[in-house]
Amino acid sequence: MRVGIVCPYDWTSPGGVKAHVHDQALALQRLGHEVSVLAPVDDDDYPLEPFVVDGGKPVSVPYNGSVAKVNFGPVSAARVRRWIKDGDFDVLHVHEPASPTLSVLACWAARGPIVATWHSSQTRSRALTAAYYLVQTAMEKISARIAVSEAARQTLVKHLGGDAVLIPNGVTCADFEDARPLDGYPRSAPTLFFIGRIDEPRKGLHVLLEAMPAILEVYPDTQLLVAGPGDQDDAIEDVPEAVSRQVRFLGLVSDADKVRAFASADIYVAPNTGGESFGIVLLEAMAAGTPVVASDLEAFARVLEDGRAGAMFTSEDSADLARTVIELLGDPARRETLRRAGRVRARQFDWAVVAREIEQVYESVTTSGERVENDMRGQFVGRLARPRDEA
Amino acid sequence: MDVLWVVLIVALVAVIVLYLSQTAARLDRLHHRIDTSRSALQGQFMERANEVLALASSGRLDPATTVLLADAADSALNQARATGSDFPAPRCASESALTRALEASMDADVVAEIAAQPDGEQTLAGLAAAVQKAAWSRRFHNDAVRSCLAVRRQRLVRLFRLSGSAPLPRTVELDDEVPSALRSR
Repeated sequence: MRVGIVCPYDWTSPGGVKAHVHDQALALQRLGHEVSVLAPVDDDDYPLEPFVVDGGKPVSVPYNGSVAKVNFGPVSAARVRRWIKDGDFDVLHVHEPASPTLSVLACWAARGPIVATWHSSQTRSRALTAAYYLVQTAMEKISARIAVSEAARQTLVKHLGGDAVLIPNGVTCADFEDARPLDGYPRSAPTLFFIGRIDEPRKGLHVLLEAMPAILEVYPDTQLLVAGPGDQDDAIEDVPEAVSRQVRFLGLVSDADKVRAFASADIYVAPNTGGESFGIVLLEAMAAGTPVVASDLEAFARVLEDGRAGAMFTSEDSADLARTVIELLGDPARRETLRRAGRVRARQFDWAVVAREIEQVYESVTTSGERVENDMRGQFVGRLARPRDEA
Repeated sequence: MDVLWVVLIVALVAVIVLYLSQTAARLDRLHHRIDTSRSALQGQFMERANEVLALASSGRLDPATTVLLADAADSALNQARATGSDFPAPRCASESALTRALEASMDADVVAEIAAQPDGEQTLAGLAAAVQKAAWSRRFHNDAVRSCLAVRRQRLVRLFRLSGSAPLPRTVELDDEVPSALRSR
């Protein structure tokens, strides 16, 4: 099949949806499909993969309470139409269609088999409500809706009605297996690993730092490896010196170093306090064979099968976290059990499996043999943006 | 003053006409989407019954299970041939019966047994995909129907009869739950 995928967010900066689209494209290619990805490109020097088509430079605008880098306007719309026309796709797959991005433009511009994936569990923005009529028209063209998590599915059902099928995020297990630890690891004393924005309270680094004194009491030389962007001095400002000298900041790490960091740690800790709709990092740790200790958020409990594939503690309870970590550090047999259960669980989310399911959705919506085309009906504004040689 | 009124009325009429023509296009698109999803639905449920029939006649199962599955698949196929792309109550009933027959016969032990046979994994993967796709295509179809009904309920749409003589679409309600032993195959 010829598949056109639209990535709503900048291709040249890291992000969950971008990573998902990237891995999805590769996995579909491995299944023998021809894939073209349309994505915003902010950094002109970024070496684009051969399957990526430049969707234009994104503009920073305030959206939904923060600043988003997105593409909109007639120039972007024309680019989308051009890409749809040149692509001659069997199926169009847009991500996060209810956002002011290339995705909604693609839904608006195209007709035929359209599949959409919802990622976030955000509440409906005011902008969306205001533009409801136009957006609704674009949403109505989507033949099949996918949600990556139960939370995302519920958001979608609440705001748009109808239903969606659940196809989870994927993880490329092979990328995480047999990794070489970072230089100097494993240490003789335990190593804990945290990854995520260090200045984002919902990632929960403060919960872990508060648990450290109790952990250090039992395992004095325990080191906490911290990867992720944010101000390091702010993060340990109020932390006692006895703890802060056991913390090693790696900063923003490359994908390769992330894998090596997982392999260097005895335990991966996910102390998130909320805002997680899936928990892809947990699966990455599990694929790497690192036992997981995570807060008991609903999304995490689902991935960890209520504690079967990883240990869980009461969210925001540092004492409970410390207890769980100490227990696990003192029980190598249980770590080995979790390591195995985690690997098995991660394989269920391997991209090879997930891409097969996505392929089945494509097959369900393409039985009529219709292809993806530009849609001009009832679109006065759309006509202005049609590709030049057609006008 | 008169001129202002004329301008206002013309503008109002223009807005209404614009709205109506946009909505008519929107309805047209929705009806088309329903046609497409309904034919997909028809195809996927036929495929599901055919897969079950193929499994039943493959000699991989004991005779009792064979008869049970073949009978359920056969009556589903007969209903499908009789009703085309429609899903009236008797058809839904026989599709639901096929689902229950699958659920009852494809337990973890039977599935493991088939998987151990030569080409067994392949047979199971084909069956699981067909069952899953049928369930999904019904969700996609019902989604399309609900979107369409939401528009057709609007007052202006009914007043101007924008949907013409097209009958009100209906969701298809039946049991197509994927048997737990076939999930993630």
